[in-house]
Amino acid sequence: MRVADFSDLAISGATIAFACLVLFVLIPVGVEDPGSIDVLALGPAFWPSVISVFMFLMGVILGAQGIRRLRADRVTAEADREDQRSLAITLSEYAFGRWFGALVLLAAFYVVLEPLGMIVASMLVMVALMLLGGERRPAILAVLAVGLPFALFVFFRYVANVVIPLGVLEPWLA
Amino acid sequence: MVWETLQAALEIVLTVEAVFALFGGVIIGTLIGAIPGMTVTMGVALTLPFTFAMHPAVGILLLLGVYKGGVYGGSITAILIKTPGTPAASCTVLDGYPMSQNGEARKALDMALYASCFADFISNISLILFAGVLASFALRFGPPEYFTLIVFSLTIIAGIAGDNMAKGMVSAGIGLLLATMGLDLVYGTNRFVFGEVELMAGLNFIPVLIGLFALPEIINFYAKRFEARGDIQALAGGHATFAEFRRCFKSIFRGSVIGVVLGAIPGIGGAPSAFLSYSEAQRTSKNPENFGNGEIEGVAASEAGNNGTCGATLIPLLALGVPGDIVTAVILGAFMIHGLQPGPLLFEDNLDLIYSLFIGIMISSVFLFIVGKSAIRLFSRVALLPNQILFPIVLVLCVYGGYAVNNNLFDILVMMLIGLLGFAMLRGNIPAAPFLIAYVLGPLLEDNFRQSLLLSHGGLEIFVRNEICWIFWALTVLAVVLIVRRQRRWPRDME
Repeated sequence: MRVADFSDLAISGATIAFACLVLFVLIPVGVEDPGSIDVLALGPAFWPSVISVFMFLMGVILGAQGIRRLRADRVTAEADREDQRSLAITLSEYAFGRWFGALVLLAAFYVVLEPLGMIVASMLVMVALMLLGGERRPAILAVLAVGLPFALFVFFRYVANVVIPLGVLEPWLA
Repeated sequence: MVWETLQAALEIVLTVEAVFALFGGVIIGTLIGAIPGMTVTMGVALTLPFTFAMHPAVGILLLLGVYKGGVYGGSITAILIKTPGTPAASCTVLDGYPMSQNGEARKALDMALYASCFADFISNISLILFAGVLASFALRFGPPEYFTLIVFSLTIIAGIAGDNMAKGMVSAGIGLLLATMGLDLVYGTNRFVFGEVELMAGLNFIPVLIGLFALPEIINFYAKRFEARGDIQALAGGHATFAEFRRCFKSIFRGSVIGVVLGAIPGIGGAPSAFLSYSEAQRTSKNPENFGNGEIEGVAASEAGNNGTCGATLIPLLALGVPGDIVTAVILGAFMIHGLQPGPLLFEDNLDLIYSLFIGIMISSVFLFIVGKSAIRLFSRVALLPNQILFPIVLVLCVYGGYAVNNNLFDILVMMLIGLLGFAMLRGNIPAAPFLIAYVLGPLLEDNFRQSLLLSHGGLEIFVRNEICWIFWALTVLAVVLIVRRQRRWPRDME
């Protein structure tokens, strides 16, 4: 039942840390100083600084809410069931495997987009994701994986005039 | 002059391309709205790249078709499988699903369609009547007035932050911060570019949008166990009759007016409008106890309130250049991509475009009726497309769409990274909508703030320089008070 409370605290901590990172590291390093600034509020660092301070304050408020909930210790039976469900989802190795597999596929998809081309990469990732999702019918896999990327290529290339990276299909489709 | 402009507008709208775009948009929107998990925002964002090669009016009509179709389409799965296709359709569940369980699914779907089309029509009329008046008023706007207006618009964040305001504000903060990336417009210096040329123009709106809304749902699907989807209820029962429509007419009309009023105020949107319309219908009904148990008037009221916002949200967009909700924020992006800036000048420089949009949205109400009436059965079948097939399709659409914005693979990387951020936000129950609104309005807020200070040499009194500024400050305070009150009342209304 405390999963939700701790997650609030975790989000609070992450928000405060992020706000501090922006305020003390990213702004000094990433925002170029234009030199003389007549009015502080006109400077390029002013707005990001204001937002960072705002986020810091929100992080503090979230943290206070999380601590208050932990102390209050007034959790209904319904909330218990909800938390148990989310805990079950969080801890399921099976779901973690699928999720991790999907992330690896997404990363691989981006990496091979240029060398293989958008059509072939889309075909491969579609098949892989459909299999990962539990689809096993070969006809569905083949028709969708081949048909959709080609249909989108035809639309974007010949209707919208977008040059799609073709990769290995360059000799045939360019 | 007016007649010539009208003629020019008709020449744009009454082309095969425009009619197909509008009709196709309504079909696509209804389809997307009817698929649980796919939002209208997602639908409009995915359709956006397809408009690049079109005439601006045709492209925007396509998006408006998707918008209107999507808002209606959300009611289909809300009624049939208790899964609202869009957040705005959540109120329709209350009586729509019980009607389905009572074997009156067809009747509920019919009434949802009739109420939607009528409210949409009223909303469109309101847009045509009031947008011009607002536009001439808006000509008096300078940077301080725009700043106060955008501050007022940002109250939308408080309205859509969900049950935890602080999380909504964190989400908005991330959006505001990301919007500061790129060249500083006043001094021309770099902000958060870190030597990366691709970042000098900032992060493109479309990959951020797609990454924020579409990808987290896809990633989240793989993070869950397989879920059995609810069986669709048989489309049993008779059609809704004219007598039933007449009985519900008062609630439909009232819901339409509520939708128009709330839709015209940036930040309120379809869902609160539907709930307000529903609660008013229940309050004035002779049989309030039937509400929640399959009362057809409940379906009519919620759908009227919901769809009544559709045309009205375009009033602030067209007249002031300020999006009234998330979808119109995307449509604002479409205007910009085509080199157009909605607002008073659009009424002076592109009146034929404005007229063509007015004519188009009136036609869209008719198309909505035709599409909804003839294809309820078909759409409910497509809504059952299994997620393991649906999500890979959506992913590939996202990648093509994200790439097409700038013909740049970097945008796909941005989309994926924002997708991961969106997934983390989803799991942490941090709403994504405030991020989007802040990302869209952030640069406008900062630019007008700094321009105002440049005008006043740093004096803050410029932000209260006339009655317009005061009105928007007052409206901001009023909106915040209403939102706080609504947040207190809503849980009681839902019970």
